Amino acid sequence: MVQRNVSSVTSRAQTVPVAPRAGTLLWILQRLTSYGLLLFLAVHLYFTYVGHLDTAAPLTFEILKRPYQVYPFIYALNEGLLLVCALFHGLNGVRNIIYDWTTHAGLRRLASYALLLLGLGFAGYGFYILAALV
Amino acid sequence: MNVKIRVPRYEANGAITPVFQTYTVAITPTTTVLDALNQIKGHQDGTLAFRRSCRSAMCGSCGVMVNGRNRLACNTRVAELNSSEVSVNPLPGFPVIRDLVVDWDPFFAKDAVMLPYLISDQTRPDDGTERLQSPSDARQIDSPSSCIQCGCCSSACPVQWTNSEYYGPAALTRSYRFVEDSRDTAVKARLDIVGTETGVWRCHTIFNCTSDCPKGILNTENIQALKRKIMLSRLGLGRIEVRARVPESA
Repeated sequence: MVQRNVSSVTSRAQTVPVAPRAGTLLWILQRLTSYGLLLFLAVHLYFTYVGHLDTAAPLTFEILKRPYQVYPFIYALNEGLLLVCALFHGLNGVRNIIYDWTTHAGLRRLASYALLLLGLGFAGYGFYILAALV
Repeated sequence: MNVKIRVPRYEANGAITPVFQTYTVAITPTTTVLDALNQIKGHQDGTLAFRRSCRSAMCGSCGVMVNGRNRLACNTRVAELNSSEVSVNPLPGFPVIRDLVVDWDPFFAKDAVMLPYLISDQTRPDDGTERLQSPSDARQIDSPSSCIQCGCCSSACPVQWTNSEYYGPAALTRSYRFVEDSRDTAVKARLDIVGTETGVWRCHTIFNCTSDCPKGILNTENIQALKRKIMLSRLGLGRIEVRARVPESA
């Protein structure tokens, strides 16, 4: 990280770290995924619960599978996007907390890569399940 | 009427845990917290350390935390607090030098990073007078220009408490003041400085800085305005206006 020397304005030697030009894209994606979550989660909850309130039968795996058969492409797309939005929004939120709590560059980098791997892992598992359902 | 003033006392040179001391001060309806501190220092305990200068909310020296909120001691009346015991603490998040005196060096170092001066590639008027602004352009920067650098906002920011690298609302509002200045032409450079992980993207819109600003500056909103400008310019959706507009009357 670049250190900018600003000693001339203070009573003793001071440097202020100037971070690389980063963060803009993540911030935009955090906002976009929040809107995505609102939409995709609403669709998901509707088809999982509200859409089946008229059925007296208890919620079963067969009922949960039904939307994939009725709307094969659209519903799978919704669930896939929901998975991506939830993973990104949640894990980037954790990254934000870590960046708030530590200024240690190595720890930050390690956390970012760990969260990326975690996200990819969960995404892989989620899409594997999704592919089995469609 | 008597009021108890509770102040943390630190040994000079680095004791971490303060010892709290309570003083009883006679107040009138117009007694300010600074008056009370002056009474203590003048008549009860000359070793109490605190900063003050103008006594008229202009210099920003006497920012302290009073009953859990950051305020200027000189324009906070004790009677307004409706409390028989008033707790006065140094600004949180700043390194304490002694008692109510905090270290301002990191704060002003961040301010200096913001290039807190007018940058213009326009030549000055031939007659040597100042660069003119239209009244509406001047109104744009009225609010952020009224910042007195008291540190109440940056000290109230929870992100600043845990992340010493974050520039903080005072420095970001300073940047906003010049970004919005119609005479300034270094907008892109300024946005590059604040559009970083230690800049605007660390702000989580907690609004403590806005609620604790003794000058009523909308710090959080200013930071959001900077975010919008940076976002639009980096997405290529907005153009950074290189201004230095000449007012109609000039």
